Amino acid sequence: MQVAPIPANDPQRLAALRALLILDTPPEQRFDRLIAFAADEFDVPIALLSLVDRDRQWFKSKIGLEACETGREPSFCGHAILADTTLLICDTLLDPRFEDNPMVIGPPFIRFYAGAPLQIEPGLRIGTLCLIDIKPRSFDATDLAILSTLRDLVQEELRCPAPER
Amino acid sequence: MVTMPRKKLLLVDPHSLFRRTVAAVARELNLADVHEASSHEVARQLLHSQHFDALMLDIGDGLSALAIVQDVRSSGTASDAALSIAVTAESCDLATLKLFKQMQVRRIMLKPFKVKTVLDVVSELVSD
Repeated sequence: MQVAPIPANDPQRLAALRALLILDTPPEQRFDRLIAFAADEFDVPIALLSLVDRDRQWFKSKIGLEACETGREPSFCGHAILADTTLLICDTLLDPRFEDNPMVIGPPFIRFYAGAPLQIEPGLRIGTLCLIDIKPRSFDATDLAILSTLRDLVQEELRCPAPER
Repeated sequence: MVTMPRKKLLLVDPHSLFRRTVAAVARELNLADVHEASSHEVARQLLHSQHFDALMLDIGDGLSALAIVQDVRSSGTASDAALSIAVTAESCDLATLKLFKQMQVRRIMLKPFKVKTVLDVVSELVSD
């Protein structure tokens, strides 16, 4: 397994994430409806709004997963935040970075991953909107455009202060 | 190289997340310039003030959607009377279906459906 690399700007990235005051806050309907929409649109069993903290990824919104966080090192989203573009793994068993990942060879047995990075400021990617399936899938240009659009809507929400907070 | 302007489609649907997603993806994929209306009232205003190449209309409750289509077909809007129209519905009885078909509605889509399916229909509507 390739451990999720730490980007050079991680201190700034973490500062931007923490400035949002969103980590470990309760679920919010404005995010949950976007994640539910994504899960429904793509017919995936798992959809997440994942925020990559220093040592963990924490889920602000989740469908299909019990855990509220996992370690950063084995996380797929830790890889996805390294680039501007969506990280697409159509079959994890065919990708040397993930073929022996504990979340591939064990629960939830990830076989497909698509993670669109959430960029809160230029170059500062704090997490992802991601889709996970337990079977390999194809993902075409229209799917990528739909996922990117939903990611943009999540980013808009992240930039707005929560009305109840 | 000359770039053709995108065709204009009016999407009428009460669900903002659905509308915004369709509009943004259609723009990104260069399928159409999708304008949004959250209600039949807003749709009427837009149809009277702007020309559109296609219309995708949620029929909602009552007969106001039917009146909008009648308005288009009788040249009562700024668009061509032969405007390409698709309607969407939570449910639709046979009598209503027949009325829309008589007014040359090209597609009747029952909810729920995927954004991807809608984009295929958008592409079809603006392809003429």
